[in-house]
Amino acid sequence: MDCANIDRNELAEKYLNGRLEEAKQDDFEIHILECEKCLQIVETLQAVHFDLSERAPAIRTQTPIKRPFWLRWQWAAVACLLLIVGGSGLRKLHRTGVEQQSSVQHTADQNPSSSALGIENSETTIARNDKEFVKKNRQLPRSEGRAVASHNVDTSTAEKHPDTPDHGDLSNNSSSSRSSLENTVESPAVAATAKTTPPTDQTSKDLAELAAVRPFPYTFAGVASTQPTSGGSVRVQHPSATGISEAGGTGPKAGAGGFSTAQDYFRDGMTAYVNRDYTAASQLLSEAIRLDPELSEAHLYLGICRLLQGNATEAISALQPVSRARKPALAQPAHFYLAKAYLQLGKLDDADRELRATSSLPGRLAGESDALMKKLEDVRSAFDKK
Amino acid sequence: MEGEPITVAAGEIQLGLVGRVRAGDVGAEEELVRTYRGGVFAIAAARTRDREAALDLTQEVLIAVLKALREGQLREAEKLSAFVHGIARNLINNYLRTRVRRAECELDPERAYVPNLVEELESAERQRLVRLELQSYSVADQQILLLSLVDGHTLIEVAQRLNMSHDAVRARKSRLLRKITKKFGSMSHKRGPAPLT
Repeated sequence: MDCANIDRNELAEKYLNGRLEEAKQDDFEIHILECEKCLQIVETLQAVHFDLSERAPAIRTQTPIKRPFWLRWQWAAVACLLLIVGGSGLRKLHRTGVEQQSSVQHTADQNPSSSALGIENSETTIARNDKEFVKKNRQLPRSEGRAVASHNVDTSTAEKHPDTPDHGDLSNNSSSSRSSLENTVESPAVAATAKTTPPTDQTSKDLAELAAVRPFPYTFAGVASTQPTSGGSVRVQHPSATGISEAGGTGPKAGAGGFSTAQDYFRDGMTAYVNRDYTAASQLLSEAIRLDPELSEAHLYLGICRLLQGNATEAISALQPVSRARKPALAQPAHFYLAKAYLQLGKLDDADRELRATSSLPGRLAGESDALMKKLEDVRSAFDKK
Repeated sequence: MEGEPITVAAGEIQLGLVGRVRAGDVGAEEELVRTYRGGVFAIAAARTRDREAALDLTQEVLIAVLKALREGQLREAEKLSAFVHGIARNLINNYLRTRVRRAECELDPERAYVPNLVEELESAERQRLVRLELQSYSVADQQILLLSLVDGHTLIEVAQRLNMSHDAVRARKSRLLRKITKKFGSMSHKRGPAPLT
């Protein structure tokens, strides 16, 4: 094992998630005892892991898990709105200028001493009467300025021909066409803005409530007393209390005493489970499963432990084999907690399917499963409505 | 170990260290504790997921290692790291199984290992700074780290859950981890002052 391999295969992450095989885990641990660089990476990731675990509920609820498509284009909607507002402001400025120019032209028309034609007339009138307007008019684009000027030239003619829209009409038309344009552009943006606020928070809260997990009851007189279906007699050497005497040359070797079976690990694991020490329970149940992969009870409670630790993905992989068990006493809780795991992952269709499977089996979880299905349906329909 | 330069006692250094500990050299014991404390704690914390228990276990492991070395139980000195790892693994497994932690050592209290308060404070400070750093990230970034590091989701699953592309998630996660590691890597465990009294 070398640092490059560790880095390339993200072994530090896998190690902290308990996803390394036993042999690789030992190699990795020996490596970090010797390599300061890799140890630093592990320590940093541990600190990150620890902090994120502590704040996990807050982080999960802070943001909707799935960000709606249109929300990602929120900035585009804002940009459009800004463009429209800016554009309408410019047009308004333009219109004001045109109206002022028109009134100036009208004054010029009424004054016989001044010329009735051309740009010069208009400009001289403007220069004489309204310096501020000239300033505004110069700010307009050259082509618009010309259009305005030529329109001003024709104003008197236009007044004589009712079919030709007068200046006010033109301005009104452009205004109304602009406002209709604004409406077509604004509508989706406004609708999007309206849609952004309500649904996700409440829905995610409801889903979080549905996904909440309570430990499945366990009594030692029940499952624990049941001998495992196979492998119960598998025995492994168990390390002694200190580990010193066995720790010769190449590492520890088991002593003469202290043998443990899968059943021993399962019993200890369930003791930890009952004491709500789910981390220890997970470790011990994993060990029991390693010794006896057919020990369905261990799979079931390992899956529940994983769920209670907030690791839904691993819970699913532990629970799936149990859900196919013939015994309803095992299969039903497996389906039920699978549903919880899928709910935590936001896979609602899968959760629904598992809840239906739970209800179809005899057992104490059927009623709770029915109620959950109904709530899930309500949440989904509420979400659809929004 | 292969391929990478090993930064702590290896080969001849380990031989010397083991020999000196066996000869009763207090300085060598301090050096050994400094060398392995961080690693043992990291292993204990990863296996137990309980920092308090990991601290206690680290102490137990180091005491046990020292005791074993003093008694000459390690025959191949170049395998010191594997020896320490073996003891650590046994004690941690034993702890997980029995949940009973016992003081096995009968060392002279004057020479017994005690946790270094400075290191404890440094660790707490690092944790605080890591929190501040993480809180400065966007919620999406925090969720990427939470889903991948804590929940153990694959990048594809994280991408699906966050409605992002796989490449975007991979790039963001990689960038964040590089940033954090660069920033806090140098703050991590240093082979600091002797924690022995």
